[in-house]
Amino acid sequence: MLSLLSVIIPATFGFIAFFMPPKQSGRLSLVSVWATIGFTILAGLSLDATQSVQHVFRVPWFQAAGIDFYVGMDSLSHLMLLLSGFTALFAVLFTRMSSVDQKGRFLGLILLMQAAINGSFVAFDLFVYYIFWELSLIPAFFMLLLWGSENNRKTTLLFFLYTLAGSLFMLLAIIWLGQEGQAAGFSFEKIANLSLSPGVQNWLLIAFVVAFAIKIPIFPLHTWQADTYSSSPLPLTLMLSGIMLKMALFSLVRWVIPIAPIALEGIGKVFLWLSVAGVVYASVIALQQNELKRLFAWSSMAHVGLIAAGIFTLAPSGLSGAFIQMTAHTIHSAALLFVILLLMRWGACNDISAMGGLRRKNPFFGGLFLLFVFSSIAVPLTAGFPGELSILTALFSWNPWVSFLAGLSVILGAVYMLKAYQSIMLGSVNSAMMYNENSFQLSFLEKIMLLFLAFLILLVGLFPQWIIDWVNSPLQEILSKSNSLIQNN
Amino acid sequence: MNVFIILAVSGILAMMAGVHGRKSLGLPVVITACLLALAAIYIPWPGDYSEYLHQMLMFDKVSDSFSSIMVFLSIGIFVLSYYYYPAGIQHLSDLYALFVFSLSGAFLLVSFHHLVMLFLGAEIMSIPLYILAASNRRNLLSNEAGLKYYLMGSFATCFLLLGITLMYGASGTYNITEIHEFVQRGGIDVPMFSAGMTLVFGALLFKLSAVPFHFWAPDVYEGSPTVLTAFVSTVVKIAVVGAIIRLISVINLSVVSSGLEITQVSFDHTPWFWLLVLASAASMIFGSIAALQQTELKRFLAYTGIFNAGFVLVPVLSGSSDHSRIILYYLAGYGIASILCFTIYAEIKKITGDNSMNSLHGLIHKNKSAGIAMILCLCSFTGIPPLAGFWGKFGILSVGISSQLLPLVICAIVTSLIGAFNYISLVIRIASPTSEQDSTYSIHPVFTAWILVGASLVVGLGLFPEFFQQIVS
Repeated sequence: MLSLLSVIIPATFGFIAFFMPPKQSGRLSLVSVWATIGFTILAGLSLDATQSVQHVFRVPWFQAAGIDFYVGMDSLSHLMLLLSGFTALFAVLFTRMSSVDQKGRFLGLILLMQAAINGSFVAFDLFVYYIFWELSLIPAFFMLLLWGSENNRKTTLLFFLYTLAGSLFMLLAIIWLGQEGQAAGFSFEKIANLSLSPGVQNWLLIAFVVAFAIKIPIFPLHTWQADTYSSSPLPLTLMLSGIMLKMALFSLVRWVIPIAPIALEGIGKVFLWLSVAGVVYASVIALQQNELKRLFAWSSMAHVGLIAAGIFTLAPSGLSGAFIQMTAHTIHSAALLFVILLLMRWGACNDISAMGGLRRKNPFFGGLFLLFVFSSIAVPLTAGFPGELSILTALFSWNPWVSFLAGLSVILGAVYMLKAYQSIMLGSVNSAMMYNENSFQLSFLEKIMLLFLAFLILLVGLFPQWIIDWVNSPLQEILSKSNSLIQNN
Repeated sequence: MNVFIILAVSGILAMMAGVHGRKSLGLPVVITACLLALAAIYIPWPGDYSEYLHQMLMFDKVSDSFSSIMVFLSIGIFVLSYYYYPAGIQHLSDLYALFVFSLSGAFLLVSFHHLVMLFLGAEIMSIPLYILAASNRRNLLSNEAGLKYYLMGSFATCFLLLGITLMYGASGTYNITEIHEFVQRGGIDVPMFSAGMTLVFGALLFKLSAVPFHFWAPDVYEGSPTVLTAFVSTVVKIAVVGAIIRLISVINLSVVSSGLEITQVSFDHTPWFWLLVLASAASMIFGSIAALQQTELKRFLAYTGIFNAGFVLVPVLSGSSDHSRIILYYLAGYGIASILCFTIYAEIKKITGDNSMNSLHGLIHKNKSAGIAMILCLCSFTGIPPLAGFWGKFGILSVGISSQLLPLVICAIVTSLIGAFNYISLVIRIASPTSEQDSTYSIHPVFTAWILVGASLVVGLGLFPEFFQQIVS
């Protein structure tokens, strides 16, 4: 039941907030996100990390096709729900801080998007998963269309159709899987236990990975991302990079590894190389970016490419590193976007090279911004480091050249992030910039938020083992099953 | 048969009401008749009423489910027509009578068990439609629509008759059961029989507006009164698909497909199978691509109707009649969304006088319920869960995959994507903020209530797909 609540609470509050005036809807959304986080923590307390599906809610839905409305939780899903709660919390806080017109509707859409994404994390029936996957697109579509920057019709259309194209091919694979086996059905137990021939696994892998590759994104299916991130309103960018792409990464582990392990060993190599190529590609492009949000978009692609590569290695360190890195990436997204929000509010424009010397205006902010940058670069003791280390280790065992390429991206990442920090914060203040009166003040709440983010970064950086222990059991189970299938082949 | 009697009598009553100067009685009479017909389908009468007229008509599950959906959609169309036809129009009750006669013909078309009944059903359904298409006599486009529909429809009927004749010539009987036995004895390979089946299917594909028999559809949809367009694009399609299913399933051929690779064409396949496959693929491709350029909403919906005709032929090709429920679900979802689209379009056209898609620009700001309902319909057409259209698409794709029609399924998916582009562009247009802040479209509250009922049906069918299955079983 608790897993269903993670979907119902945001959905209900989202609907109600949609129709309310801005002030009440802001309060209501805060209630909703805190309630969701509260219930997620509650579920986590009663969750046994070593067992598989718990907190199950299962009712027959469409019996003719064998679809049950089957949701549940294991510790993998639980981690993702925590990340989603965190992201939604910050998205709501960002919305409250910015001047968004028709706030009620915007907040409602954020909560509905959170509900759909939570649904995809707790779904244990492949069809229910697909429905939530598609549903999460719709609030994003409307937010991008109605609150995005000017001339965004083309961007919205590209974003929606690109993702839909991948989803439709995934639907084919899903329908086919539902019909396989003794009975028609889409439940996780049935699908994970189908032993399929390598040829079939190959095309299933392609169908699924193409859909996820579009979402993550992986080179060369990434062209929608930069425009979409930079035209979106900031809270939507946070939702997209903070949690929506985690849906794809999570599903690779939850659904694709059990379905197609042999194919992952085989043609999955191509996807690993593509991920790493994408990481380097994105890093190089990020070097040349002058706009804040576009820089964020390309750096995000670089980081998640590495996470995807970690997953494709099918190694224990790769997978656990991927989950730590997912946590870190969510925290980074919130942190860096918060920085961008504050900079924009203080009158900074989008162009990095036009700013400068802001550290003197607010040293507290400057220090914490530097911490966020360090974490993004994977400096040890910060959140970005443990995951990166695990993934690079796994990549090295897989193929040293791949880890060399991935390591290049770490260096390039340092270059562009530090360069950006330097242009924004260091040096002298650019007198041509018109900053707001009483600028560079941080309210108490904002200081708390910055400190909270810094605390999380240090927490994950110092104690990554907690995350590893939490997700260890399901990962071991998935890996052992897939390894045995590979060996029997 | 009770249904047919009820519908026919109500048509006559409506005409009589018109003759005696009480033409406002026309609409209540036909709506009552439709409700009685629904009751007659669902409430079992004592006695065995499954066969009629020496086995010329057969009322089984397929017939009952298809006719109930058709009657249900007709009720929706009659509600639309209440707001569409101005009160003082001449021959108002005659128009309703013609609708109901056409509906009764459609009813025959899904219940036939004798080839002559197939012809009769097709004719009784079509001839009132020709008249209705031209019923807007002052409008040049309406006259064009009526003439085109009549001429091309008559050609199609000729082919239908020729096909029936050839089938009779080959098998020696009109009765479907006996044709079934003839086929079991190897009649499928008789060239005259194949030719006959091909011609019959060609005629039925015409009525369905599938490529290459689709040329009438955009002009007729655009020129006819919107109520008729709604009727033709929903009820007539359901009837024709029901007829095609009966033809295939009752002849009970298990059609084994080996895919569409040219190098592996097996000459055991009959020509009409390939006609259906090519019609399906071509309709999907043509319908989705041609809709890209459209600026007028009714033509746009005509091309999406062509696309849907192709889409709905995919499970028909699987050869078994177990899939009739899935097809019906798809058609019902498509029908409800279609009627809702036409309803909103008719109202907007009445308010603005502009029949292009520009009138939809920023609709959601000008009238919330109309905008939201229109967006829901378009999303249902695209196949976004959890709306009705999604389950229909899912069902049809499932059937396609399980019948090994994979190339056709891939074609369906790619063209669905092109269709999605069309619909989502329209959604974007509807949701775009407009520059004219003060113009709003005010719609009569009862009409708004009907729009919301329709929209909630679209959503409800999507959330509770089991409910629909229970209704039609």
